[in-house]
Amino acid sequence: MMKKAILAITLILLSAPCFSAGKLLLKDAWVREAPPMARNLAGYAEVQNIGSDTVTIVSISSPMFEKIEMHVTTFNDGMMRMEQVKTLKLFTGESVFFEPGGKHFMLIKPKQAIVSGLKVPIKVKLDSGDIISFELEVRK
Amino acid sequence: MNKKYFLLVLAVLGSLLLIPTFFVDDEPALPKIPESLKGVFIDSPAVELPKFSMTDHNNNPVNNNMFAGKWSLVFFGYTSCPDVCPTTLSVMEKLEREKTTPTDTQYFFISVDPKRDTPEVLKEYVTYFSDNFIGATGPRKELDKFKEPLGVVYDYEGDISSDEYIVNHFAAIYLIDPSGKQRAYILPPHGIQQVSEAYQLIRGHYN
Repeated sequence: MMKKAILAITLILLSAPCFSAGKLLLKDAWVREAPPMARNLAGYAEVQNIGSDTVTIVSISSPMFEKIEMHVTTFNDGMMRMEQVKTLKLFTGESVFFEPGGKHFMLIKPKQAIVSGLKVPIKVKLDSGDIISFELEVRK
Repeated sequence: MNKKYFLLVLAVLGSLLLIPTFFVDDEPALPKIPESLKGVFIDSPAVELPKFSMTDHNNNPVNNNMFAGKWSLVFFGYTSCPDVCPTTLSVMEKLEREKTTPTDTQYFFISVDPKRDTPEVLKEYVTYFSDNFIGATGPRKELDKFKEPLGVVYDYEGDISSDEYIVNHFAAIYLIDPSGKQRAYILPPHGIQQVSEAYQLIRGHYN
């Protein structure tokens, strides 16, 4: 049992770029590199609830950006709209995909150059009060 | 009498031959879009673009002549757009780099957010994707001309006196032929496979 647990933890630690903290797992977490003057960037990941309780993400922040919001892009006959997703509830085992043309982390007003290879640290706050740290890798 | 009758029959037969021409459209056959290719729509007949005048990213005046002589891919958006615009421009950049040459294809990004997207901002934005991309924008009066013929609708959401408002916009890629007419459009979300296949097919058909 203990051996299995250690193996599982080792596997999770090895399978970068995955970040987990008992409750949430972010797989393939990345930020699309943008032109230097870009006001807003987008981050993507598969967000999975790996804990045993339902969790709700209430806010996200990063020292590299003025603020981060969750948004969803919708297309209606080619008309693109963006709506803010204020909170995101995830049941045990549930995965939500943040991907181009869909849900995304909107990274607002970068405080520094965001270039390929850079790791953007983020803190995800849950309704339980837990704050979990992750990293998003910048790439093209 | 016999001869008259013969001429009448000949006239009737002759006019029968003409009938099919009434059912033939002026447009040549349309390119066939395979079912696997989603979101690609052919314009038949080709859509005439409105007469416009805008400013390009080098601060030069541009008009319909910018489309003359080459095929063009045109996308309307804004530079503060985090998700869709960079995704589509990355697809266009990939297409430019892998499948086309600057001598045969042009790529345009037209901003529907002229307040924030000055030529200087546009220049930095479009040249980040490719040195060959051309950015342009103009007063809303000019941008609104594209609403009717091309369906370029857009609206602003949030406080437009701040710099944080969102622009909702029609996000198709337009294929404009070398005579400056719209031949087709491709709906988002865009993928390299979809846009590349659609462009090769439509261009190949009309060339």
